[in-house]
Amino acid sequence: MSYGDVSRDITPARSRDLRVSGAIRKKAVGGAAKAALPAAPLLLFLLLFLVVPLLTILHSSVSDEQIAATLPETTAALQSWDGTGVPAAAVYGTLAGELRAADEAGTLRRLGRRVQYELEGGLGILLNASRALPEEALPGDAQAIRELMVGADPAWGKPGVWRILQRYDTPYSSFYLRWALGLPTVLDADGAVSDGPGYDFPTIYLRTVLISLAVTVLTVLIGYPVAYVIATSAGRTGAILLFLILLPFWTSLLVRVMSLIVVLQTNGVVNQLLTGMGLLGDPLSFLYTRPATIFAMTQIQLSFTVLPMLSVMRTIPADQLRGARSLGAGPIRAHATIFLPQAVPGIAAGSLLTFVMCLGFYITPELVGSPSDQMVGSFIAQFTSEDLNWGLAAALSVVLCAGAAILTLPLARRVRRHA
Amino acid sequence: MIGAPKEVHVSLSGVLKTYDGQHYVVRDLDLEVYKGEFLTLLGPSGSGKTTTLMMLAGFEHPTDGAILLDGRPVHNIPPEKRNFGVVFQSYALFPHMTVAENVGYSLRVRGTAKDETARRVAGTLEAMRLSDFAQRYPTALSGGQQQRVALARALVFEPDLVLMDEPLGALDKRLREELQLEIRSIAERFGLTVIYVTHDQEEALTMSDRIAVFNNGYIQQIGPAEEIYSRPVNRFVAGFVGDNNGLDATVTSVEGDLAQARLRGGAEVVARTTSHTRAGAPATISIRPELIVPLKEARPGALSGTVSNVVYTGDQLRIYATLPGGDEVVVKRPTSATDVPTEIGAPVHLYWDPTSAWALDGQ
Repeated sequence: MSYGDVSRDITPARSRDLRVSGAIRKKAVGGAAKAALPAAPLLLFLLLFLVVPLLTILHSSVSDEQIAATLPETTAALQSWDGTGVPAAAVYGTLAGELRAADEAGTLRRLGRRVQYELEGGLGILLNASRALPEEALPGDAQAIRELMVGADPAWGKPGVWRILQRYDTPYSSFYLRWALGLPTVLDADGAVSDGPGYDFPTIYLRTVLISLAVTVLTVLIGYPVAYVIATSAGRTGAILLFLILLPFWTSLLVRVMSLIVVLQTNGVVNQLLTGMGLLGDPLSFLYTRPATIFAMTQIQLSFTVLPMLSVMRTIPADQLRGARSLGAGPIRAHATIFLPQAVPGIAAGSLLTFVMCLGFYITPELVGSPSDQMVGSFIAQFTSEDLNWGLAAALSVVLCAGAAILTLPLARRVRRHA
Repeated sequence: MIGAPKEVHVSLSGVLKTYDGQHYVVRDLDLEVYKGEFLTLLGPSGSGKTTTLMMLAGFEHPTDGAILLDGRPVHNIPPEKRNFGVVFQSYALFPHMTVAENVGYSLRVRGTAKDETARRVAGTLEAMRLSDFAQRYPTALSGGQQQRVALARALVFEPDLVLMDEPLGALDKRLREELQLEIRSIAERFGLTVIYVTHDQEEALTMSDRIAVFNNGYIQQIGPAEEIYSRPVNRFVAGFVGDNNGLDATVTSVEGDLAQARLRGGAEVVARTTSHTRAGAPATISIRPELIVPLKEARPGALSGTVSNVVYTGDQLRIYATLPGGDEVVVKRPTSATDVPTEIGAPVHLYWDPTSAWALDGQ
C-alpha cells in the first residue's frame, strides 16, 4: 500500500482573505430582500385592512367640517368679532342667508345636531332662527333680521352660539378628542361652561382599565398553574389539559356568554344548586353585576393568557429545576428562583394579549353586566351605529388606542427583550 | 486512593426500580462506592445507569431497597437535603443568572453570608479557570466553558458526593478528551467521590478508578478499568468495553484454567476459562484485536485465514481476516509494523498467547 504520493499543497495564496467583494455583497442583500418576499401578501393585507382604517379613524377623530362647510361666510365674518356681546348686524344677515341655503339643501338639522354637541339646546336655537325668517326674500336690512332672530330665540342675543360658530372656520378641530378625554366642551347660551353631555368618559375609561386588569390578573392566577402542569408533565395528563384549554375555541363567544347567563341567572344552575343545598334562602342575582362581567371575561380570556405562557414554559428544561433542587433549594424556592423568572416573558405576553383584548370588549359586558359595567367599547359601538356620532366614536377609539399603547409599552418591551 | 484503606461512602443494597410495575429498569442492585473514588457507571442507553444516578441524586425513588450514605439511609431524603453535587448532560445552567450567580446559587439558598459566598465563588471560578467569565451569562459561553461552570456550581458547596450524568456528551471529541483529564485531575485535587455515568467506554476507561458495566438493569461487572478491559466476565462486557473479537465455539476439554475449544470452521483454539466454561458447552472465545499477531508464515497454534480488508486509521492498520468457518477477525497493528500481510486475498496466520483469550458465555 502507498499513501499520499499524489498529494500536494493546493492552498492558494489568497485563502486567508475573508473580505467579501462588492458584487457578492449585493447578491447577499438581494437575497435577503427575496427571502422577505413571502411576507408581502401579509404586509399588503395589513396595509389595506389595518393601517388604512386606523388612519381613517385618526382622521375622523379630528375632522370637523360640518360648521365650516355649511356656514363658510358666517364663520369667516366672525373672525373679526372680539367675542364680547354680539357680532355686528351684518353677520346676522350673512348667517340668515346661509341658514336659508342649508334649509333648502337639507343640511340644517345635521348642522343643528353638530352645534348641539357643544351648545345646550343648539339644535332648537338654529331651527328657531331658521323658522323666524320670512318665507320669501330675506329683508335687505340686517338689523331687521337680527331682531327677527333674537325674537325667535333669545340665545341669538347672547354670545354663546356665536363663540361656537366663530371657532369653526377650519375643517379640523380637537373638539371630539377633548370630548372623549372628558375635558369641558359644552357651553350654555351665555357662553359659560356648562355640564357635560351626560357621559363621564374618564370614569368609563378607568372602569375599562380596572375590569381589564382584574380579568388579566385572574387569568394569570388561574392559568399559571395549569400552564405549569401542561408544560412539565409528559404524556397524557398534559395533552388532556391542553385539549381542555383549547376546547373553548371551538364554540362562539356568544354561545359561551349565553350559557353563562343560563348558569348564573336568578333561577339558573348555580342558584338552584345553592338554594337546593340550603346554603341560600333566596336566590342571589349574580347576573348583571360587575363580578359576573369579570367572571365571564375571565372565562373567555383564559386560553389567550395560558397559550403564550405555555409556549415559554415549554422551553424551560426540567433539568434546571432538578439542578436547583440538587443545589439545595426546596421545591417552592426552586420554582420561585429558577422557573418563575424564566416564565416571566410568557406571563407578560399572555397578560398583554388578554389586557389589550379586554380593553376592546363590549358584547360580554352588555350581556352579563349592569349599565354601570359598560366598557368604552360599548360606547364606541353606540356612537357608531345608533347616534351616528362618528367623530366622537373615532375620538374614543383613538384615546383607547393611545392609552393601551402607553399602558402596555413597558410590558411589551419586556416581552421583546426576552424573546 | 490506591493503597489507602477503602472506606465505604455510599452503598446501594437490593435496589429495584420499576416505573410501570411490569418491567424493571434497575434490579437487585448492590453497589458500594468508596470514599474518594471515581466510579463510572457504563452501559448502553436503557441499561439502568442513569436511573441509578437519578435515584442517588433523589430525583427518582427506588421501588425497593436502600441507599446509604456513610451508613445512614438517604433514599427518603429529598434532593435538596442530600448535599450531592449533580452535573447534568444539558448542564442545566440557569440562563437568567450570570456565571457567578449560577455558581453562588447553592450558597445563597443555604443562607451563607454575602462576602463568604463571594469569596468561595471566586475561589471555585479561579480553580476552574473561569474567573474571566464571572459576569457573563451562560449562553455567551462555549460548550466546554458551560461544562466547567456546571462543574464549578456542583462543587462550590463542598458536596459529599458528585454525580455526573454524561457531562461531556454534547461536546466534540477533542474537547471531550481534554475535559476528561481536567475532571479527573479536579476530582483528585479536591478529593471528590464521583459517580460518573457514560455510555462511552473509552471515556470510562480513561477516567475511572472503577467501572460498573450495566446492561438490562443489572451490573454485569464491576472493577478497575484494566480488569474490565483485560478480564471481561462475559460476552456483553467484552463486546461493550473496547473493540473485541468474539468467536462462537464449543468447549471440547478443560484443563486447569485453560480450555480447548473448536471454532465453527473446525480449528482448535486455547483460551482461559471463566465461570461460564464447561466441557461440551458453547462458548464465545474473546480476544482483543491488538493482542493478535498476523503472520505471513504458518506456525503451531495460529489460525489460518485470508485477508478480506485493510483499513488505515493513521496510527493503526486494521486487518480484517476471514476464517474458514466464515468468522471475521479484526487485528490491529501499529502502522510502523512491518512484515504484515496487507494484500487483500492473501493468506494470513493469526497467533495469540492463549492466556490473553477468554472462553466466555456462548450464544
